[in-house]
Amino acid sequence: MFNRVFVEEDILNLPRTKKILEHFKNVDHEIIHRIDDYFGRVKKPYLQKRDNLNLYIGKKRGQLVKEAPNAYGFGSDPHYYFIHSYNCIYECEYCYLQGYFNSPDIVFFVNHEEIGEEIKRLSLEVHKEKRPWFHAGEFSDSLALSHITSDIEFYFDLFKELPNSFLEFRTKSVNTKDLLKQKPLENIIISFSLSPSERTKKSDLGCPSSMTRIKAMRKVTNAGHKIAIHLDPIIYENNFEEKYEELIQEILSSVDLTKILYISVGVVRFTKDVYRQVTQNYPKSDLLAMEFIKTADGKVRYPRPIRMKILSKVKELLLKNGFKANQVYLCMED
Amino acid sequence: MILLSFAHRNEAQCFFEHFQFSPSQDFNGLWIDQSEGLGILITGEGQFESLNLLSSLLASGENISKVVNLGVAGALNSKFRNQEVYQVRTAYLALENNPQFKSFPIQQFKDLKTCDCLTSSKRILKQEIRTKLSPIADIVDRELWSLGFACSKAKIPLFSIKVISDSDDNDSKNICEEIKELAQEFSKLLLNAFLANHRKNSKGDNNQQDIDHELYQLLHDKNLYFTVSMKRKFKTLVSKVLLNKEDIKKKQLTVSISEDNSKKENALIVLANLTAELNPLRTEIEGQLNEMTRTLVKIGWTIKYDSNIEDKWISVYSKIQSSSQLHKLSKTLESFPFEDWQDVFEGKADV
Ligand code: SF4
Repeated sequence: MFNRVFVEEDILNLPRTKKILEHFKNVDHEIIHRIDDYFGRVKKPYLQKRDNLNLYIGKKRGQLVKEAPNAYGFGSDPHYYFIHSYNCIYECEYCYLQGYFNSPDIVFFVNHEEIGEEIKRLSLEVHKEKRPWFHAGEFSDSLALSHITSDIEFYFDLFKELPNSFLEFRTKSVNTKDLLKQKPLENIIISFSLSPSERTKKSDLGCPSSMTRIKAMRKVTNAGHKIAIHLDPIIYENNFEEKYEELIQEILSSVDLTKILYISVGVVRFTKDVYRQVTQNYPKSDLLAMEFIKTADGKVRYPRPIRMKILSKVKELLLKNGFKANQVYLCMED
Repeated sequence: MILLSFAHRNEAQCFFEHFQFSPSQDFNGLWIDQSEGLGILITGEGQFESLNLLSSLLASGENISKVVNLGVAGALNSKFRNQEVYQVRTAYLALENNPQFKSFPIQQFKDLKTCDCLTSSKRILKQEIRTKLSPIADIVDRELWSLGFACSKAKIPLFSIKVISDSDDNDSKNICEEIKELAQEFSKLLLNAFLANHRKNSKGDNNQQDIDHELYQLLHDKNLYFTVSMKRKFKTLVSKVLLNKEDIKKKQLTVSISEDNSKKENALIVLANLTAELNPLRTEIEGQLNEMTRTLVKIGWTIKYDSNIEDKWISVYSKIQSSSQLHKLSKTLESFPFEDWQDVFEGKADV
């Protein structure tokens, strides 16, 4: 999976680091002072993730938990994301990570205790009257490599002590082995991003198929865990309504609707930089066939009537199929 | 012409023997083999020399379709061995042994082992510097990044084949001596790798199929006239339409053109048809907006709305010359269904 592994000298002897290195016994690993001395210092082309991926293991410094942008999550409670990893082994054509870091290399941060302390401070001191949400997977897929990072257990233990706070693990993977070892908690939600099968094949390169993800959702709900679904990003196609109808049917034939805490709906959108990267990295992708415009906030999107139509049609389909209005939230971002 | 760039003449010696190069009359330092469509440029060693010479040549008007850089390189990756041949995937730069941010992706042949190259402003002779720079790239040279810079500005594809000339921690004198002694051998390895690969399709050559598509013939159709900006729009639309509909025929775009129209009007129809192929939903939405403003247009008003169909405004313009005209116009305006208009932008109208 990785060509080379680089480890920060400070954390080399941590049991967690050693456990990760166990997985890569046959890969050269080199000791470095700081990840920042190399990661992102030179522009490493994004598509090198296909055949030249390195792994960095180190300590997250600076702000460990960050306030999420408006309209980020479900409900009106405060939302935060924490950073325990950078980059992803999958290759979704629309992924915003391709314009975010200057390298596709994977970074694991292993100082979860410090991240946990900050989460506790925000939960117990800053927002003790509220029910804050913490999201994993803002800069990575939170389950895809969880068998290597072994961090799931740590966060389950942490949130057991924080019953008023929520944790969301967001994923496109079906790597649920470590997760299924945990006793479900009311305040931990596993959210799966889904698209119609054909779209997944075309745009979610290297990811598990939609059906496999739905099967994983069933396993997770059968084990008693709460789940959420992201129908995001929706990419317009002439018959998108039929495709989403089919997808909703597939979900409901596998998963009990009442086990789905919420379902978010969002239309494909990019920052200017990510859009440029998509056109460079995937010039032949049919996702570029639609017309995109640059809106006042600098984002690149479909024109308003088209994205509003998509949102309202998909919401209508969800309601028609039995979802409650308060289960559905639209990522408007306007 | 395919331009082969070398830092030193002795790296190119086997190419001079194999092909029939003669000095160019127009550009000092350039040799050309007309029958093979090849050129050789000896840039000299170092990032400034190579940048200077290649940029000047590319700007001189010589018809160069691609550049292939060939030469020796030192190994930073301890697994690389002398006389191994690689092609480069990415060119990085280090100034005074400090890696710089900007890099250039290099085009690739199909069947050569790949590595990354760091162009260094200094010769790297100490193991400690190799260790420091080895996380960035596998090999080190003195020119490639500069050639990448020149080619990216000129939008000319650049390839690079390197042979490993020093993989050990030797002192400078020995390395230079050894490279000189083995120059012929290195040049032969480069020639063989070039001959084995340059006629095969490279990984980057995949746009030809699109350019050959029959839709592009419309640009030369005698019944159509495209202005420069219309041509640009046409090409953008066609490239997008072909992402989804490779089997589209030019007849589909020209059914509605007519001899009664001017050639430019017909070209506009073709553009509108392309837009409709690409985005039927947008065409329908615009149809709806146009339908709402039809009566206003009919009585001579000039109507504009956001061409991106993003903002909900509508602008109306009319010259008023009498009070009865004013009265009539204000009545028409009062009955304009502005809420419906806004609904279209909110995706509520049924399209
Ligand atoms: S799974 Fe998420 S993080 Fe990974 S490539 Fe896809 S969009 Fe990006």
